[in-house]
Amino acid sequence: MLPAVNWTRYRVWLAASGLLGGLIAASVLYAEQPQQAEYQVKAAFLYNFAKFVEWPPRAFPTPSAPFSICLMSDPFDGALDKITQGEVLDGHPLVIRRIRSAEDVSSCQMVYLAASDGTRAPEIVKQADAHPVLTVGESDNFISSGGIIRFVQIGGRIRFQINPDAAARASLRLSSKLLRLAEIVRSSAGELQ
Amino acid sequence: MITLRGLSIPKKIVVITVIVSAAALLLASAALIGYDYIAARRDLRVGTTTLAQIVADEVTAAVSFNDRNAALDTLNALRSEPSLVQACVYSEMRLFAGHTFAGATACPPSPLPASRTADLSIIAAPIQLKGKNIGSVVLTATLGPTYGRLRLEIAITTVILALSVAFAFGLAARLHKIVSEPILKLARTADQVSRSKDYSVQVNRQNTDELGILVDSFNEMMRQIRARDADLQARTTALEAANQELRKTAKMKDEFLATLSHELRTPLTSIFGWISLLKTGKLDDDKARQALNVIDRNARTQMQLVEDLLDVSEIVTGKLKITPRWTTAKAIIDPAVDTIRPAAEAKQIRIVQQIANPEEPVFADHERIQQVIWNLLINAIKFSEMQSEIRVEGDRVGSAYQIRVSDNGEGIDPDFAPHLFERFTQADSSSTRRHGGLGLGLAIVRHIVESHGGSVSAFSKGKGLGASFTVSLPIPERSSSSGGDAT
Repeated sequence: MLPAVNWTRYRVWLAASGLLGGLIAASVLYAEQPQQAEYQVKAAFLYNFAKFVEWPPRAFPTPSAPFSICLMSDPFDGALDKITQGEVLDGHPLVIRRIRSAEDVSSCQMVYLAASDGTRAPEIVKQADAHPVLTVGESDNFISSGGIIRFVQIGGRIRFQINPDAAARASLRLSSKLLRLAEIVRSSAGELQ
Repeated sequence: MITLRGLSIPKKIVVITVIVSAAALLLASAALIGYDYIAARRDLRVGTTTLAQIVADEVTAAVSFNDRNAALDTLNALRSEPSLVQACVYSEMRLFAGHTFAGATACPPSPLPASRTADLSIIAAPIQLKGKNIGSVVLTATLGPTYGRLRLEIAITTVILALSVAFAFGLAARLHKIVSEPILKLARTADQVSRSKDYSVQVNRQNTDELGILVDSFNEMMRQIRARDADLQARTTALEAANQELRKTAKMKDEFLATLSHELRTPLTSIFGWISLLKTGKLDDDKARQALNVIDRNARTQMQLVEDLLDVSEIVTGKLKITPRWTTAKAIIDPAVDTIRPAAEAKQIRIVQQIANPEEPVFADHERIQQVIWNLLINAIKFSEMQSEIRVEGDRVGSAYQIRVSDNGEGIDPDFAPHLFERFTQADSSSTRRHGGLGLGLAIVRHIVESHGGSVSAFSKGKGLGASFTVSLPIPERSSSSGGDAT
């Protein structure tokens, strides 16, 4: 049905430009993005991350178990709750949970560690490392301490870094579309690839 | 079509061939180009739809994470697609990223509905994330390049069409001869025949098709005309010959009548002359006797003429009867010679008789054969000089008895020889001729001899060298039962 040649051609083009675009997007940013409240954007990004990441089946005890986004401290001022209110992802209702200790991490699908979580963050990241938990943080050493996605702010715009090695360790499959938009950082060196 | 009707056959064939080729090519080209146009439109729609769907999928993350540059990069990758004029990405209903090609107008702030115009197709594809529409991709494609290609195609087709028609023309100009040449040849020949009236012309047959049949029919018609001509010619010749014969006969009759009246009057003149002298009673006995002799001779001459006429009349009407019986050569030759002797003596002509076997039996009509010999002798005397000699010979040759009468007289002109035995003919038919007679003698001779189953022939060395006539009478086997008479 589809013109195969054309399709392949566009795929190659799109893949090539996608790779290039990913690098450019992460390094070159403009101030065109409308200034929104930082955490409102981050809340939307968190929710969208869930849509571009695939969790292994063992991440959920049952097919209709809730999808938990876990927080230590809550910098969102209710924005996250508002966004995820009543949302269902692949049959899993979204819930926002506050956790107190590192042990609770294993039952989460996503953990957000705010800058205010400070020294507890590496501990929780370490705890989550063996589980299919997407760790998202914003501290400078978040990636080097084993985190998967780190928010960065470049030119007033919120972008993110991704550590694919950490994602692989957590048995999470990150969409190539997501990776294309991110700055890829390896945890060992924390440098640009 | 009316103008076509006036053309010659070769031109008709060429024109028809060219028209048919051009029409076929034109139709085929139009169909191809039409199909190309429809296919191009469909391909453009299908291709653009696919492209929009791919772009929509590719920009999902960019829209989700508000990364306009990533979306622009994706759109920029479409620049190699010549048919695209506008590619717009909308987040919700707001313009998120837009790219225009080749100087087209910028993307409108909100998505346009999908639509199609003569040369623009606007195709929209939704951007979906986990079953939710988060925006749309709107691509505007133009048929411009397609039109360009179609124009090129039409130009190429036109050139091909022109070349094909030229080729068809060249081909037809050569190949038409297969059909037209025999027709033209036939037409030229027919024209030539009607002009020159020469019906001996034939056309070579080269084809086995209907044209061949036409040529055969033409040749057959010509043959029939020739046959009729020949027939007509033959009949005309025959009629002319018959006509000439009739004219000749008529002339002969006229001459005969003149001769006859002359011949009949001559003895009468002499007779009346001597009778008027006798009436005076002044003639002495000698003179009177001489007068009576002359009157007697002239009367006999006239009598002979009348008898000859009667004989000819009987011959013509088939009433002349021949009654042969057995007799001897001497019995028929001697009386004839005796009868003629006074006439011979009058010219002091000696008659030498030489009959080899006078008692030889001959089967003949006694009086008629005597008449034959007498006639031949009269002729001989008539054409002999004074004091000359006439020979009468008789001998048996094979199963026939031959009687020959020879003289040393005027002989026979070779030109006249073939007509010697015809009726009313004499070598000299002028009114100033030296010799009398009606020219019936030899005709009667021939008829009588032939009635006996025999033949008569004449021989002369030429004019002035004498002549000899030979009568040959067959001698039949003498059967025992025959009493002498035969019927």
